[in-house]
Amino acid sequence: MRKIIIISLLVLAVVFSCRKQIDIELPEYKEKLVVEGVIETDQIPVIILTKSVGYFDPINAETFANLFVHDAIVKINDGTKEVQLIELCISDLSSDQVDAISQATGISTEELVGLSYCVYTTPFMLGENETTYTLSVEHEGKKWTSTTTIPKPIPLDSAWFEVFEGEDTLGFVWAKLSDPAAETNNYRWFAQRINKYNEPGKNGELEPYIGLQKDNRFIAPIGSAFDDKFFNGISFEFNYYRGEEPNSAKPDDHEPFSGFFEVGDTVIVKFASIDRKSYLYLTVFEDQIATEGSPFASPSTIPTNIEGDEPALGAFIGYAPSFHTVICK
Amino acid sequence: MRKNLSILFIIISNFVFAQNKFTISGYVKDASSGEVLLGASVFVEELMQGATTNQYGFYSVTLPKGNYTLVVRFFGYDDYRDTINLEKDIRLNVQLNQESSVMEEVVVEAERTNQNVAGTEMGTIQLEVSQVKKLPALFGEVDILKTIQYLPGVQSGGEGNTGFYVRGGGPDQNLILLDEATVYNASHLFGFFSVFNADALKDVNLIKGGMPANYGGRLSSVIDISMKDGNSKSYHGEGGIGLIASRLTLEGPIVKDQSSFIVSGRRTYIDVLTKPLISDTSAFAGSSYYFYDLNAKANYILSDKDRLYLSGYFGRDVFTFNDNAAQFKIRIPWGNATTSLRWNHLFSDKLFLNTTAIFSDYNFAFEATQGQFDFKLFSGIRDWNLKTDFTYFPNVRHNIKFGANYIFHIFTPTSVTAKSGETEFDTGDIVIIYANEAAIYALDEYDVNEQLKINAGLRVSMFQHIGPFKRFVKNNLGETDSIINFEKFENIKTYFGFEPRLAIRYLLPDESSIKAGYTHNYQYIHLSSISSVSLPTDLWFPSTEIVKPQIGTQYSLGYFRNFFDNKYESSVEVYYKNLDNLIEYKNAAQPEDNVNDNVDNQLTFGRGYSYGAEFFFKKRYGKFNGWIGYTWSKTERQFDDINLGEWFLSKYDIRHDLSVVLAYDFNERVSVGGVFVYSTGSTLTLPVAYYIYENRFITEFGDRNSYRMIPYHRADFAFTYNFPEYRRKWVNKCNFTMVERKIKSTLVVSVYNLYNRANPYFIYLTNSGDPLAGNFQTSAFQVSLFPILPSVTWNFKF
Repeated sequence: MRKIIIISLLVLAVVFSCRKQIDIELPEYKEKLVVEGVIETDQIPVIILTKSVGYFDPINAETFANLFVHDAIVKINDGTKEVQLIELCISDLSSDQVDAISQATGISTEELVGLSYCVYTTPFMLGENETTYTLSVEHEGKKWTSTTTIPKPIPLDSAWFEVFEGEDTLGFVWAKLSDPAAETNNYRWFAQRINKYNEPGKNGELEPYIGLQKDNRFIAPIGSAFDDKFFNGISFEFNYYRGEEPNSAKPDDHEPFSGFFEVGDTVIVKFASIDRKSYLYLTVFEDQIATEGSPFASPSTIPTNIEGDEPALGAFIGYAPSFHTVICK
Repeated sequence: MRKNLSILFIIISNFVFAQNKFTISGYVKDASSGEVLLGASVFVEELMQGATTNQYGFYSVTLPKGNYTLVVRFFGYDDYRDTINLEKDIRLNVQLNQESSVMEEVVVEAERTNQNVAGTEMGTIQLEVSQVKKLPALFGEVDILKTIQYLPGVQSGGEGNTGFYVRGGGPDQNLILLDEATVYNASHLFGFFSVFNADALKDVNLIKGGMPANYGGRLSSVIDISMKDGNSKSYHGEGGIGLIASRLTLEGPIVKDQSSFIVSGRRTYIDVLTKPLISDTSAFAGSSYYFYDLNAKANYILSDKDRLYLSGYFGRDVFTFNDNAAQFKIRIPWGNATTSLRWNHLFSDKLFLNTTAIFSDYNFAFEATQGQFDFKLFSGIRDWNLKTDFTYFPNVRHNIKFGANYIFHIFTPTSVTAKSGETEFDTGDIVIIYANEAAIYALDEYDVNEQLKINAGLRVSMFQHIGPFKRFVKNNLGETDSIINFEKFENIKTYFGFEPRLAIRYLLPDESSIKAGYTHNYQYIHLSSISSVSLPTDLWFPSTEIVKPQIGTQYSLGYFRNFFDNKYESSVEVYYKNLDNLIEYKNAAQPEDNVNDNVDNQLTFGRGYSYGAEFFFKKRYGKFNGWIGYTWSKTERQFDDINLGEWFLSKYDIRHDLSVVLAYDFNERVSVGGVFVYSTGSTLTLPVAYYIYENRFITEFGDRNSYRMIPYHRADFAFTYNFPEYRRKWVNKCNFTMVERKIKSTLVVSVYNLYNRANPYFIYLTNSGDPLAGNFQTSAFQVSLFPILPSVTWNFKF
């Protein structure tokens, strides 16, 4: 909805305008702590700590490695016990462990390895439904805390695939949800294609990918977070397009396949419930991604649920998932 | 006993004096068209006392019995002068003749008006439409609202922005009236043109400080625009054909000297504007933009004491864009419709009444289709308004006005329907907001003595939000806690405002004066803009129990001086404004939040101030005329929820603003006009940093409005050629007579943005590439709108 407004207004501006590149001088910037924390039912928690970087400072593989915050004291308390997380860098881990981190964080294994990710995690605590978790981070004498709740999972009634009008084999995954009326429900949608590439494609462009699983992890398309404002207590059907890894070079993430699932795909839908503050963070976060660069969006601050001695960015989010398998045919 | 006697004496003496006073009253009109003239001076030379004609051209002067020389004077016309033997009440309607030659360098000294020095209106400027027409205009379309922005204290919102700012106030703080009807969105094409067709207008009055008590409802300014009544003597027309639009105005009597009409229309050409829009692929077929407006007015003089006017305006913009390849289509129609029915009645030659019934409507719709997905948004405001205004001239020292105003508002801030294929989304009921707004006022313009004149008034206003209404009560996480339903006509919230207004003028020697003003204003309806650029999709909404009325207090002081016997006018004005209950969207509010919710749940409130100094120098008479205006101003805001509660520069802060407007009449045939404007760049909130989340680069924004774009400056030029009014008519091979042409025409060649400066419209920062691959790059781009734009317009008159 919002995307359409933004696109159309952008069109107006671009059409009437001349554009030129200019130099801008921004004021001196003081870095902030960025917390990307995830805890999911039956999964280990994963916290990524990084720093923000001035807008015109260079970002490449080397400077990226410098963004990670090391030697922080990170603890999670689930109401009965408190566990301190250990810092693990990708180079120290086995490929299975890297996969687990990838699933938990939503970052592909290539990125994790290529950018020398370091994460804080623990094997001693797994997420549980209807539990509240408190995260605390201490670094260089400063302290931050955050709270999130893994709510009760609300499963979809059903999920299926439908070919898109005018297409032969391409389409979207549809789902039916009965939203409970009693409280405000907040959701996030993920999808993963677990089948492998088995065709070279029209011009052989998929050749290098043959034998590889199409998606290594659950991918959330932009707009994946939503609440029940429009359908509280209602059963309704909806669909999602296929999200993609940022900066994906894969041919099926480009026209004319981008956004579509294909007949023959096996898709696992991860439909998760999240708490209110997590939803508020994610919806503004996704909105900002969708409108990057548009003057018609307001420059907003994404409402973080991290509090502390100094302002921090990011959020700590708990997921209560339900899983559904869809065979596309 | 003594007290009673003295009272009796006072009463008797008043009665005795009153018996010896008589009133001259009547209307001042243009001799050739019959149009009434507003603001003409009617005074008695011996006493240098008199009155000015009101909005309907009516004046009334009460004096002791005697012989006087009565002078009626108005800019652009020859004086009227007559001796009056005043021994009973006289009805005197005066017809003024247009000045024989506007370019006379030496206009009779005494004829030059000094209204800017003598009037109490501070911060009031009357624009002469005839002068405006000589100035260069964008695409050749003469625009009153653009010309207002060349005056000090009035700043443009920037190219492409619909509104303008007066003394640091936002676009919704300007009350724009067309024949007393409120015009909510006075712009076509996102602010490139205004909805006012200059051919249909008579008078434009801008009040930016010292707003008298008969106006209210907005904090920053009043732009009071009067349409022509229509030539009551003969039929005429005028119009023009231009590159972008054409217009035609027809006027004439219905019954000679008793009733007349004027109809004026304007429309753009689809082709010219859509050509750049439609790129090489025909996939964009069906994309277009056009606007039209229609002004119509009729009036009827029922009797010596009564006159009726009926005016209407109807305008529409429609923008459509199709991208057939992407199955994407949008259509955005918007526009105003206003009607006013007015009745002038003279109770006596001292008491004038005008009662007006007004209907005003503004709405816009946004319709988008993407494949199966269909989305419609509608927003509008509709007013039913009844007002009555009395002007009372008890004697030559007092000019009293009082009256009452009632408006019934119907707001539809957001009405959305959306469906995907066959599934209709539940976008909730359309929440319509009903409100009553009312005011009563009284003011007196009092000539205390020869130097001191005071305009003091009080306006008492009221605003009431009434049901039916559905209130979504939210907690601080944005979740709906409960819903309250209010019944029809149930009082939900009432506000009262006491608005004292004071303006003082003290005459000094050498054609100069000092003026001071104090005004306290309430504003009950507001415009919310979710983006940093104002668009026709901004929503009008009223005060409610969550949204308090905006309050403004303004102090102003000015020194006015004319030189060389009123040939040059100059002034310096300083002002300070305090603003309260200002409104912004909450951080991270999104348009869809308004659906199935109340608009005011998305808002946050704060305060602000603005101050500045305005310098103005004008030459009104002669071949070479024009003005220079310079404003230095500052305006800031403070909201607890925005910018961490720290004060920040308002987006209406434009530190320096300079306008130079010049017109030169070479001779009867040729005149040229030029405009140069310079203003400090607008403020912006820019990103200051990146951070990573879910493997995406997200921008962090800096302090609100902490960045300034480069200054805006531009020069325009216009060249006007008046075709000869007479042509040769050959009687035989050797002789001819000069015959007046039936159609007189003018060719205007104008150039907008003469030196092709790329003025910034906005700046955006963006990134490209992949950090892993080492080609990640951030860059800043500046988008500009108008390059050098020449145009040609052929104007005609008959």
